[in-house]
Amino acid sequence: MSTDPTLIEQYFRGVVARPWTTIALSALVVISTGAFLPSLVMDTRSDAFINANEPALVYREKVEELFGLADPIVVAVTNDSETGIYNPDSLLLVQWLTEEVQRLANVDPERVVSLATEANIVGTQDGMEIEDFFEEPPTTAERVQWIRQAVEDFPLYQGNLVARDHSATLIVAELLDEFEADVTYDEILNIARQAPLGPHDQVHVAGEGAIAGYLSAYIDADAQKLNPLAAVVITIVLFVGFFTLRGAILPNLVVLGTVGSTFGLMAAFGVPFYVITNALTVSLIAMAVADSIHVFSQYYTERQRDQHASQQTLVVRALVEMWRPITLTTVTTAAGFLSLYPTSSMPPIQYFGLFGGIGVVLAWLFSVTFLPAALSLMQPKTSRAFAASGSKAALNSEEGSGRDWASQLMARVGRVVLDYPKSVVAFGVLVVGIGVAGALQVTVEEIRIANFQTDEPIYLADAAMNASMDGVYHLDVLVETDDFEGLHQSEHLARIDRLQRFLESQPGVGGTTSVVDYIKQMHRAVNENRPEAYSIPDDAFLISQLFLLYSASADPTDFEEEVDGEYRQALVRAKIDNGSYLRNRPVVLATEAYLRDEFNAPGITGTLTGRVNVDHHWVEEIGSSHANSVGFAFLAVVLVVMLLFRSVVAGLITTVPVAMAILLIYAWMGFTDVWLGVGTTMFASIAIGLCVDFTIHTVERLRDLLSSAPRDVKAAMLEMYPSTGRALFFNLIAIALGFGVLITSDVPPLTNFGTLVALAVVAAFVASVTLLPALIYLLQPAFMFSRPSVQFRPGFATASVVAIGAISLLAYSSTFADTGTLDLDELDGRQVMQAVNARDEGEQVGRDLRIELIDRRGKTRVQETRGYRRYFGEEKRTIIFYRAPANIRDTAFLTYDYPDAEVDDDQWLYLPALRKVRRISASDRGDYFLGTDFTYEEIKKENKIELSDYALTRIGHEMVNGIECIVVEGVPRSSAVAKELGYGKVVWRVDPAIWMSRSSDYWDVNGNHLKTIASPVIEQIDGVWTALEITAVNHKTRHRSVFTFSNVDYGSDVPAKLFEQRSLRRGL
Amino acid sequence: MSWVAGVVAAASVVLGATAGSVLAATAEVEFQAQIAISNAIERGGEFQKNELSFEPRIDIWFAGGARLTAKGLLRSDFADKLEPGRPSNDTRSSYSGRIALGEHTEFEVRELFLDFELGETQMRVGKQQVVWGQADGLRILDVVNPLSFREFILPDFEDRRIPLWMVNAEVPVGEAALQLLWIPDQTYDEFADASGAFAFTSPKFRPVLDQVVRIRSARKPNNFLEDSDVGARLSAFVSGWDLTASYLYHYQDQPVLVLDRSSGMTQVTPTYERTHLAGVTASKAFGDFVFRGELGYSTDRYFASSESVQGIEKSFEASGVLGLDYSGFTDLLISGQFFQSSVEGGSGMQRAQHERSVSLLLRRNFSNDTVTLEMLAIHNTNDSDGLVQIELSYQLTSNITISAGADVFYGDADGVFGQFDARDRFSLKVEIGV
Repeated sequence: MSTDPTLIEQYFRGVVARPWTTIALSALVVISTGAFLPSLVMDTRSDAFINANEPALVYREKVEELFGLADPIVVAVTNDSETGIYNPDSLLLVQWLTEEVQRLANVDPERVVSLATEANIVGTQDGMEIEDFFEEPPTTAERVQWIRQAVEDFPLYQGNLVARDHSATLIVAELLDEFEADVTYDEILNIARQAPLGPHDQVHVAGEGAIAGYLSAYIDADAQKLNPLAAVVITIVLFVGFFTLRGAILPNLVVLGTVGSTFGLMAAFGVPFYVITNALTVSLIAMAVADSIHVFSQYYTERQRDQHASQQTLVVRALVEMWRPITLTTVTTAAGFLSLYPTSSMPPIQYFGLFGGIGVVLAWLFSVTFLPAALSLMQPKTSRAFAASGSKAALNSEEGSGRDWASQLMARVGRVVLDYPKSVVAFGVLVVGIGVAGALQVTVEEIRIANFQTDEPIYLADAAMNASMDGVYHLDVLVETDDFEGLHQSEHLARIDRLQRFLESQPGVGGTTSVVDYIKQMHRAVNENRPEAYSIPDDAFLISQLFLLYSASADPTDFEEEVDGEYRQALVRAKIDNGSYLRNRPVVLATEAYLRDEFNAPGITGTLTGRVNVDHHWVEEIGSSHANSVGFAFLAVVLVVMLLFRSVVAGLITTVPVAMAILLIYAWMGFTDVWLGVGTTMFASIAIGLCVDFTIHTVERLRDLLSSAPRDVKAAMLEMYPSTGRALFFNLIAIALGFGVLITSDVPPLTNFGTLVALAVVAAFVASVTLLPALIYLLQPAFMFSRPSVQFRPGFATASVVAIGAISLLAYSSTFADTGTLDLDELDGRQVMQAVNARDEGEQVGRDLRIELIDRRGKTRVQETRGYRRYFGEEKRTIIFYRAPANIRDTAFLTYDYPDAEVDDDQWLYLPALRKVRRISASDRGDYFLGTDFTYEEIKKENKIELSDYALTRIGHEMVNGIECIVVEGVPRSSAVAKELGYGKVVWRVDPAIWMSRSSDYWDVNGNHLKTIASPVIEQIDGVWTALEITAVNHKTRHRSVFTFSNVDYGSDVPAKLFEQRSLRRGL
Repeated sequence: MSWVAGVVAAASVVLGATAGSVLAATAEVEFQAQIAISNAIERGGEFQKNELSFEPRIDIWFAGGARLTAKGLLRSDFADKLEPGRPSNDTRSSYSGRIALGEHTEFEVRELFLDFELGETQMRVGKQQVVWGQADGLRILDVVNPLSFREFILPDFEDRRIPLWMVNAEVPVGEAALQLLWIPDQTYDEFADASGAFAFTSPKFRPVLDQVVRIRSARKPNNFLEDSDVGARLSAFVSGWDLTASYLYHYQDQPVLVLDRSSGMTQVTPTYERTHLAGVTASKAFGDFVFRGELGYSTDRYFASSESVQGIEKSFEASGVLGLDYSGFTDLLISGQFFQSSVEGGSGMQRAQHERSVSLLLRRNFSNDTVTLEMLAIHNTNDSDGLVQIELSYQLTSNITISAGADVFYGDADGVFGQFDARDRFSLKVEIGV
């Protein structure tokens, strides 16, 4: 089979000659990678699925920070009696729960909201009074009645804090650390269990924080169940296949090594264990064993052929025969997995693909090292499974009589297929038709709560809360006004009020809240509680007075979730009763349109945010990234097959069963309403990689048979069934059962994933042994009858892997660079600049910078510097050392750029003449940096901006050097900021492929054109887009600065101690 | 013997070439130099200074990460009024001296040190300058290196500080840095002698005498180990504050003039005295302002006194500087400082119990920092005397800077500044980088 047997044979002889060395080396690989396992961390946050640079996520995090919002755990007290929760027992229960929850370490006691923490606003003779609902304990019927009346008079709390039908009330607790959500969820569940329930009282725990918290525990439990089950199933398959202990144990060791090393590598690279990584364990178990199955099958076959050969000889013969097919299938399976990495935008799926691919390769590695070495140490033994079919006569029998049941079954299948090839093909066409029909019905959808079984308490709690309350999912609008106390203006408030009415008219929106609700309540309170005064006052002064009055008599931080301290920004929150992408999609789109067309006006803008919006944005990508992954996996696999067989026809023919299998799965999804979501989006790529294994084995064997001697085609093809067909059958059983184990998972997306992959491999297997031979029989393509002219060499596998890598890279850059993961046309100015700010500029960099300063007469000064930058968390530190000319040699500048815009940055300048590190003020960000035309701000930010400085508007497109750029205009938010920056207006032209401004223009505070900055040379270095030349032209002074960067190095370590004052003094 | 010279010459060439090529193979070498021509004309129209200087600098980066820096200064002053004749090395240690090359010309190794790391500790060993403190132009803690008063306080500190041989280690201590100094170099302040343009005449520095005296040679410490100075400074950056605390056990760089009247004739012996100096500094930026503060306390200081037999009186000295920089105007720095030094005080002490000074610095940059106009005024409130320095510099090209300035003293001849009232000068300087 192989033309270079000596080399391969020599290798395997070497392995069996020094088995202990090989085993020790394998163990070393496992131990050295497995040593990292303890550092593997879990990240089950749903945000983990979103690329950290996704603008919607970045924006939401900013808003959360601004208004101090975090994913809450929500405790609901429900009471289905007549009075609902308005009875002393239920209310005291609320108080008890509130106090208990406030005591938890991971809960900010100030950020727990319930009836027990909130206050009523009522009018009195002197204005208004703010009284806590629970100022007097709700022990008497009168007090309960008072609370009920107060809440009913306070529209803000209706459906929000207390159900409109009184059946439920909430205790909302925000978590300090989302990563600790699982512990807190457990603690709250514990509190709920101990709660002193009154008659009819029930306590539920749900909320985004709880979902994240519970999910990790849920998945842990699931994994503990699934993984041993998969191992047991595989062991049973092995035992049935071989009837020997070694046949069951050695492949399990390969599995153990593969899984241990793969997860060890994940830990070593700091990749966390995500929700879907559970599926990876099971997938690895199923795939790692496949190679062993083929090796063992061959070993026992060899043993039957030659009972007297030594164990070493048998092992070498088996591997010399099998190394090629297992290498082929490894390459194709790895291609399927790896194709997820460049095509998905979700980190958990990317890493699933990456480490799945690595795992497959590791399994192959152990199968050609450890496995033969360990096997060679044992005594030769015959497998009873093969003994039944193992006589020489039986092996040569075309009819398959005297073989085991599996061989006989396959032989029968072969006869049927080759007797009725046209019917088989016709049936195949029919199946394709059904597949297309079903595939068209596949929908993209994601509902996070659907990660749980429908009888889980959290699922029930979620359902109960959404039914009785306005909804626990949030769609938020951040309203920004240009002026200080802009939200005291009644026209702005009226605009917000109309927005709320609009939102409330949308399906699924149960209610809305904003600062306007408070203003109305206060307005009514100061008007003797007259219902008609529940409106926005017409007078900004009165509005200011209302806020002042409130803060005088209550805690002024009560509004901090609705409005910022300057009354410049407000959060409008719509409560939605479901977390479904499909159902919320129209709401999100309609609201975006409303904001754009009706809401935004000079002086006020609204931007959509909130969990529902974030989910909308990333789920929307699932569809397109799925199509990319599938297309890409297909392409990769076809290419690999073409390369390996050196035949285009081979590449095309092998894909037929694969395509059919995938199509059938889409049909399955379409007909059974399994949606294309997070859990299912990756099935297809993996299935492609697995399915092609079957076709490769089939085509390879058939070609071998057909080209070896001119004879009856049908007879030759029939020979394939009992031998290769049998091995494929057990391969199928192992993989299908392995993935099938996922079907028993308690996590529905994993169940779906397992089902789909298992079905796909079954379909691929069936097509490989029916449709594929039928097609070959009917078409009789030439390549099947000629021995490969160029023989397969070991280098091909390497070449294929390299090719896949290269294609991945290409696809990666094209997927992300060209279309990005965003719908560019929908981004507003702020989102564009967010993307610019989110651009990776490397954790650290060292580079030489040549500064040319050219005055209007062309006189040029040249300075040479070396600069370094490094991120310390979000804090960015930059240091620049001047190297020449001699008169400024050793001048050095150090800056700490803090992420919080409110905190002034720290800057130091070392002047060699003084030999002193001077602290310099960072407030004049608009001052020019050491004689250049760049300001200190620009030196620090490097192509990024402080978002909070500007009101940003997208104003169109422009070509810069033949590249289409998005034009964003920024106007400083206040005259103070304008003065600080030295600009009255800025226009950036952002290249969306790399998220860098290629050219920008600046106007001074008087509106005169001040300067232009351009980056004419931008290159990718170490994967980071880097401006190698930046010019700034001051149009007033006609002075120019040209910055030329060289020796840019993102890879070498830039030590932290470089960014200390002593480095300034020491120089370079 | 010409063959000996030939062999020596050949050997030197071979050795030099070998050393050079070894160096080139193992290290990166950089050479820079500055040439400066500076002239100063006194109020009367006479040249006070007519100087040509050449400052070469060599940096060698070794493959192992160490760096050697060497800086020299070759200076010729053709006016020869600042230090007439060959320069004296009296206040210098034997290994820190200047080398006179004739009447007008001298050579000095300005710096020669090796930087390397020992674990996390950064070492700088060799002849160097170490600057402590936050104050500009007024010294409290910046006393590690002695000064040259050849041109009083007019030149940049950088040029006035006399580098010392020392071992300088910076050890990170958690977030902070601890600097440790060992200075076995007994070199002290250098004053112009009586014939120099900037010879001290103020009674603050000279004992009040009414009779003929004999000045004996200075009693200068000279034990390499015992007379070493040692110091430590801890610096930290804490919530936006740059803070340091330092301690220096050193010989005060100005000699104490001890009188001896026992022999009928008054003899003066310049003596160097040890003192403990402890100090703290702080600075932080507040919006457009930068605050700087520095406090120092010296234990054993000696001041000229008319009432003591020895002509001196011992006291502590506590000093402080408060500085405020304002950079709210574009390209303009305004920096004000208040300085006070207090001693125990005695009726015969030639200096006041509390000496106070204020300083104001204005620096404005024009045309992308090619033109800089700087004005520095220092005013001593005790004596109502002071100094105003104005300098305008222009960067002609990357490597050529031209500057013109005026230094104007005012006040009574007894004052620190007033004593040089007649030395007001106009100066012109051209610096060329190579």
